[in-house]
Amino acid sequence: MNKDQFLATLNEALSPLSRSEREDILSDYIEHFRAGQENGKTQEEVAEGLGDPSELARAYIEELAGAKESGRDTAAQANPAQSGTPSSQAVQVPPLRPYAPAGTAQGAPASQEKPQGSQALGIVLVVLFNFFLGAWLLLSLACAVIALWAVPISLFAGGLAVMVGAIVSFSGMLPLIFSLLGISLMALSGLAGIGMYYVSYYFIRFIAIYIKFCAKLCREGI
Amino acid sequence: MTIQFKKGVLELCVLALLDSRDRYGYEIAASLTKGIDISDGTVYPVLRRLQQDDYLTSYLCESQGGAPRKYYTLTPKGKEFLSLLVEEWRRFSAQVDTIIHGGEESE
Repeated sequence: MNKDQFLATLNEALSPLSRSEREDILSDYIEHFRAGQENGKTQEEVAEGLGDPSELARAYIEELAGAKESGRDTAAQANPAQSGTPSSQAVQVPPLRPYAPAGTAQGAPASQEKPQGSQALGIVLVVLFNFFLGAWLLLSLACAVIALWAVPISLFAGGLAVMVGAIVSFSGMLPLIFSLLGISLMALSGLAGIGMYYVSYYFIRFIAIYIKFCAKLCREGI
Repeated sequence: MTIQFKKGVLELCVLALLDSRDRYGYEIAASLTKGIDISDGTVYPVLRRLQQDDYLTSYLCESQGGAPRKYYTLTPKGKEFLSLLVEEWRRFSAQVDTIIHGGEESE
């Protein structure tokens, strides 16, 4: 990309701004190209060093759209540390700029600062969802997990019963055969137990993540 | 947080560079990009914002090449803001250091 291409792309991307604003901004970059070339760089090298022009344009547009908010931020940060001079803080809030169209930079300020309303919305949605669906779903899933634990437990009990029963009631080869059967059932119960251990472990972790997610929604809003 | 954070740090760096003497845009960009991994162009929106907030003013000055250059200078308000930012930065980095060292000890 050479100088003209860079400036043209930047100018295009800055189109939401007024013409005088645009010229003012572009003049900074024209000067930068000149200084770069005086330092022995080619236009292409300077353009590459400057970065993506549309990305840069976004910084200006977000700037103007978010000017009011960032001004308030600065004043808020300054508050605890600054000694006195409330008048200088008041000046820090820049005037609202009429030429920044509200629609162009909606994304950025919204992601940086959540309005109070969205937090209330977050809490309401979390409570409603959990009351009508989420909590019941989790409860039934928990019941299912607990019920599944019956598999290893009953396998173990069954194996034990087969073995003990055979030893007590039969004679000859039969107790040996049934003992083997009982042992293999108990081994199977061990495997099922290990499986259930992992199922429970991940289920509990899932619940923890879900609770954290809900808490985050309540705290930070949607 | 990251965008705001990066913006704040850039503001701090630009103001700090101008605290020693007046500089023009290319100079500021060159000094910053030497140490920090950002593109040169990032400096200009920051300069513009700082100027709009009355932390900086600019004036044109002839260069050896002939074409005038826009020099930036700190206003009293800018100096005040810089000392505030420096103080904030010191406190913040000290806290981070404490956490990092605390983390090392417990491991």
